[in-house]
Amino acid sequence: MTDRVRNIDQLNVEDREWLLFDLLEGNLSEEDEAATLEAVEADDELFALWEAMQQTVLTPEPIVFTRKSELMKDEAAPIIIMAWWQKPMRVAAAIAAFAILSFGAYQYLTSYDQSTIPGVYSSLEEVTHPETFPQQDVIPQDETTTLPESPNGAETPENEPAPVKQFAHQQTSQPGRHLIDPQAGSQELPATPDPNLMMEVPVIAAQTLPLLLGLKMRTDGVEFGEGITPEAVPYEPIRSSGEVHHLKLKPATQYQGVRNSLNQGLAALIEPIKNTHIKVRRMQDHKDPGFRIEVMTDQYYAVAMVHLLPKNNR
Amino acid sequence: MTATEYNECVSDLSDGIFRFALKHLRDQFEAENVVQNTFEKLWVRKDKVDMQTAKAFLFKIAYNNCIDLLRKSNRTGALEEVHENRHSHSEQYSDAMEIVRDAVEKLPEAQKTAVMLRDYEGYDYRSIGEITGMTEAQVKINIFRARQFLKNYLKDLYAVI
Repeated sequence: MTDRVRNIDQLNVEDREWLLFDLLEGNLSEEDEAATLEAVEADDELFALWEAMQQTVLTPEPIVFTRKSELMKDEAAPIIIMAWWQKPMRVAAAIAAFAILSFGAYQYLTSYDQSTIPGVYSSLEEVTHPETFPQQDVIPQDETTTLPESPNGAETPENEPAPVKQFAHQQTSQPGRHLIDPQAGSQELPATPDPNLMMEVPVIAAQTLPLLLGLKMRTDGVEFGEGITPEAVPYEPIRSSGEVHHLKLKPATQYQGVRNSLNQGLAALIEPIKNTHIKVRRMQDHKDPGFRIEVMTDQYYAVAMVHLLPKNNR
Repeated sequence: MTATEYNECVSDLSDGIFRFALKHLRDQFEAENVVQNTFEKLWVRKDKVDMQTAKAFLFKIAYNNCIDLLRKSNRTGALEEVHENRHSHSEQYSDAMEIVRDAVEKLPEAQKTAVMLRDYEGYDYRSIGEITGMTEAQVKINIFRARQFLKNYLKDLYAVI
């Protein structure tokens, strides 16, 4: 018999509780257990404590999980586990694609005067149907219109999106190919885009690409037919835009909150990275040289036209 | 573990996992999600988990899941602050067991987990330690403190009534 059981009368309250706890939990030897129970029977105070202690034992409540059937499996059900390297590889591939674009844009800007452009551009496919692209000029500052400010008015410079100017488009010889009514100047188009045109361009992506690529350039949220119809690409767009946006002609470093916009844009593009296909074509037949970047995922199809300004105009 | 054995685990253990999660989270939707996530992980690792260790595996996953959710919602801190002498008795009770169940929800997370695994699931101190990451001594102290709190809670309540 242990000392504490032998001297149970001399124990303080805490020690008595520990002893009865061990009795309750079955931690005592048979001898100690019998002696403790005998002491409990003989002492009213100890007996009351023992009764109270016994009431602390929890009994299971009749709680039933009613969705068991959803958890049941068939023997033949396959387990699809994505390898640990697959997800990072996909993200890395997207980042690499953007890095190539950034590097390419820089190379292009710095070697604009050269007739032969080395580097990544030599491998880019040239656009073979220049007539499908509208003739576009660099838009002077006085021909752009500032869009209304955010209604909440509480955006801090770090959080507000990069400033966007509405593009005052030029007259075109291809009716139905453009998003801006030439007669209406820089008037904003209705929110619902023409279903005959593919205009499923995430605005944020259209803004992000030029920010990523660097300095003075223009992106038009334009999608051309080229055999791709909404019926042929039945997935829902993340965002639709009937607008043509013209980024303010300032270096990207001057944009407040540019990092935020950039991250949002990258996230919008990288998030549905599954089955993403990025196609870049160089547009040589434009007055402004640039790229046509197609981002096709299982969720949307986006095209950003990136126009670059000549080096001597920067 | 075969699919049949896995389904047996669902039949036998999902109620307990659900009760365990519900007691911690006090939110049926979250508790159901914990059960689903827990069994999903068991299914993915069914080749590495046998029937003997499945129960401990499930409770460990569920426990970690609950703790993560509580941390995200900053509920852990509030629960840890519960003091055994600062409980209130504003509820109406029909029996002693209902009082104890209410009192259990007032316990700090570690004590609640330990006493629930002990009484509801019949685990010994070592197994509870493996699930919760506590030592056996810590498990024992937590169970003792929990019972002490419950005893005093009942005593105080009876005094009020």
